[in-house]
Amino acid sequence: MSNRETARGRTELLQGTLDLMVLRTLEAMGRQHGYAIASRLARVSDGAIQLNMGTLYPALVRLERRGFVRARWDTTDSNRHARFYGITPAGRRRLEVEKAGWARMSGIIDRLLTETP
Amino acid sequence: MRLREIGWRLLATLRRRSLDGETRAELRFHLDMEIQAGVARGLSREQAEREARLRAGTIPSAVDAVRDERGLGPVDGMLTDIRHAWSSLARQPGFAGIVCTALALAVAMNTVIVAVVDGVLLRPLPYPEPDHLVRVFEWSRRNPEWPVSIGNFQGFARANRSLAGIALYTREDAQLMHGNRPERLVAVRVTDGFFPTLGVRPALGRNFSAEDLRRSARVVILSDRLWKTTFHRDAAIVGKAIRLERESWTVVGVMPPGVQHVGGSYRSPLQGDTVAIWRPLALDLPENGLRNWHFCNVIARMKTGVTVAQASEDLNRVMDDLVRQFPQANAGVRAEVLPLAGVVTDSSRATIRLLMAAGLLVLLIAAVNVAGLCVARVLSRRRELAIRQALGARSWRVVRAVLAENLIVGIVGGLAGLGLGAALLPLLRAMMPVEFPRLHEVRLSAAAVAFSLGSALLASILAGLAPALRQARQDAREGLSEDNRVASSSRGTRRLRAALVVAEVGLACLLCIGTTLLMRSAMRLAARDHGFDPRGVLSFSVSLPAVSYNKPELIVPLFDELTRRLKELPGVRAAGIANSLPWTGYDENTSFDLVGRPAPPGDDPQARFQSASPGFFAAMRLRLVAGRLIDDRDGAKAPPVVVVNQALVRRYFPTGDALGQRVAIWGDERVIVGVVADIRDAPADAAAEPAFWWPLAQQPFTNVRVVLRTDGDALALASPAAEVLRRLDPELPVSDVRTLDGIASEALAERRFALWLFQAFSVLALALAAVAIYAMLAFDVQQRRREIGVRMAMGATRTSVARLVVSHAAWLSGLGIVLAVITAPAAMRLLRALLFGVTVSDPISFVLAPLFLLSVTLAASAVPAWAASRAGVVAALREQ
Repeated sequence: MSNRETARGRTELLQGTLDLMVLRTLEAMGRQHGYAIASRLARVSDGAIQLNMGTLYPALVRLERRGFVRARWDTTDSNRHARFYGITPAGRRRLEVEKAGWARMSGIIDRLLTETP
Repeated sequence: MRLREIGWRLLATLRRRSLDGETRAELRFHLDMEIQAGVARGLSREQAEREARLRAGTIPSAVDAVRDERGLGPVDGMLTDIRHAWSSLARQPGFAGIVCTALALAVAMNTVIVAVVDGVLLRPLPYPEPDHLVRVFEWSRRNPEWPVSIGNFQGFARANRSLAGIALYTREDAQLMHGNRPERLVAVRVTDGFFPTLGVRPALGRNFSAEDLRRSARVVILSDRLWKTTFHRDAAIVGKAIRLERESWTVVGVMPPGVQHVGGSYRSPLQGDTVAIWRPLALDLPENGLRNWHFCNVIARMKTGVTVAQASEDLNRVMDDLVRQFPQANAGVRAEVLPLAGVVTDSSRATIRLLMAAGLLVLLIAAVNVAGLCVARVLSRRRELAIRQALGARSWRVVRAVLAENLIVGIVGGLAGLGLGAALLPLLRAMMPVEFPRLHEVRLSAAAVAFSLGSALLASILAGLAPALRQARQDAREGLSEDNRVASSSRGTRRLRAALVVAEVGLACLLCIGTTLLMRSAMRLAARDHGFDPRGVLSFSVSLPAVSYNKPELIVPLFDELTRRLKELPGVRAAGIANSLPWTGYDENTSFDLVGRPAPPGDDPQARFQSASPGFFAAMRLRLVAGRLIDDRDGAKAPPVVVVNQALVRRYFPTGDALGQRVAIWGDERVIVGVVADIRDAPADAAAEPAFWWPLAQQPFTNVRVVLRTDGDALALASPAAEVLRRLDPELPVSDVRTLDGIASEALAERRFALWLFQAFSVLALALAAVAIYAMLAFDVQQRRREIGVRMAMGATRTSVARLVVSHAAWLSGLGIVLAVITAPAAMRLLRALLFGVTVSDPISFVLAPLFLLSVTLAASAVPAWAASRAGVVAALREQ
């Protein structure tokens, strides 16, 4: 029971912010394949964010469908075939909107938590 | 979702196969990289693979998740599920077959019933704004729903404020002579407002005018049907003369196709396209006729915005005036306004409601049956579903996978049921009583199709929902670790399945009790003394045109001669003539006076009047109770006599001294010379109306029925009898040739129809309940093989094991039956209108039906019990 529940909990944590994280990663690092995105997020979060493939790839498809990223097959440094994702201009605009929204929200939460009556 | 995204999804759906391949390659790459990273951290290959899988998940479930986002998302996934479900169902044709068949049969039954309900009750009548049409009756305590006198009609027409139109109509069939072929036509006399009130106009010519409503008028309007057949679409027919009742009548109009008569239970053809010809209804009657004769029906159209209650209030305001002006004729009379749609279907509404209830019950049973089988099915798929869950499939995917099977079952069962229903419908229509209102409207309508498919889908999906949700909520590991071959059905699941079986048996028991009640009613009715013997009697109508037969001296000799010649036909035992036959809806009444004694207080003596020739009583075997029958003594010049029925004696001669007493009828004082048995208006009526018989020679009628009793086949007499009549008068047609048996059977047709359907429903319900019990026990026995093996190893005998299984069945059905018996008295109240001679809580039905059901369910448990007793100890244990 336990591992399934934590898995679900993790997904829920990510639900709202996953798109933001992926877009931000692609903006910062340029074109990347899925594994690179996942390991970058794991590294940045000190291992707190372990993306399951069943979470990451649907998100990438969703972003692609909305025109925020574009995917193309290419070869890696080690000469393997992989699918690379790059952020589109529409994706950048979206990222700005999401960033602003996130900043506003975290500001609110911050104030809420620190404010003393 | 924006348009662009939809396009993207569609494209992705089309390229699904190649995209799936790409996704798989992409995921493979991801996993490989994880593994490489693990190896780089110094793990062994196996350890790295395990860790990668833990961290990143598995490829199949990720592919599933990606597919949901791509393509048509959930729909696409559903299609995949359905493909899977189809192949897994195909692997188990037994399960699929039983479930689909159960559903298809129930849906077929309901399809035909919805077709009936839709055609008879729901579809609006075929007139413009049919809701505004009402029937108006006179109402008094003695005669509720009584025809309206012409005088009162004229009062309503003049002084009402709520009606847009009001008209009279009454049936008076007519004989058409076209070429040299006599033809009896269903004809209705109407006032000028009739067609405008209905909202129909002649296709050719004109409507009747107020000037046509005279006895001397000889104008007719033809129906489209008659115009097309007999008159070959003669475009110049208007203005031409036709020969009707041996007179020349001028055609003034032709109605368009599809004009439906409004119907009525008294002096009216059935609702529908039943009328061949319309004639004007004469209003120039003597004052007595205008005030006291009640032979006309009223149809009216309310003004827009007027309710039935308002119209009723308005007409009763007029009625108050009419009562003041004509206190004698209108004593105690009120106006009664009823919606036309209600009056048309009134008689059969109870039957239809009952069938609807029975049909829904069967559908419910089928749904429960499907649910029960689905629970078993999910149980046996448990391992597979648990694996899916363990591999990361989300809950709703498991639900979807289970529901996909039910969706298929629903679609297949629904379509099969629809096909079967469509095939059954003509059969049902043939079985339905010809007098059933709006029978012509019964067809496979869009509503029936939608209902059958919808109910099949809904039933199958609801049936699958409970087990599906249950499975989805379950912990995956439980399903995996628990040994499937042993007692895998958890206590909760078993309880659910037992409850379903109990429900099914209970519902089936309700139906069986209903059927038993109806069967016992039919038996009681068949055993009832109906006062006459319908076997071996032929009857037909003869109508003498008033032009040629306007004096008793012309009529009586013809009837005498006709009877004499008919009696000479070989095989004829008795021949007679009367103006009415039992059970045909004859309902003509008159007031009369008791001579020399006061009328019972508050009762204006009234009786059904009938006229019969001496041979009639012998031909009908109408039982004589006291005195004598009408015989050859009672000629036109003989002392006036009358024969009465027992009901009249009971009501007006409570001391029983009717014989020799005198009554005054239509101005003649008559001696009561005999008392005959009662014949009720309908076979199941509680009591007969008071009635009397004139000697036909003393009170001749021109519209009569001839009856012939024979030892052999009654119908074989039809053509010799017609030949006899033709020799007497070549222009007189024999019409409406029927055996009395046929008439009796028609009078019982609606009950028989309900009984047939109930029997069919009950058989189906029984079969479904038996299947449910069988399936549950067979599955149980299979799952409990180990337990049974252990028991037998501990010394249980084959018999005791079999008894275990059978007693389980007995418990389940016993509980269902108890529940049914408790609820039955309330449920059976729906049946009350169709019961005869038994009460809704008839003890014999309440014992017989449950016993029968119990034996069926026990029989269904025999095979699993036998299987259980055969389960070898070793074999069962070895399976571990």
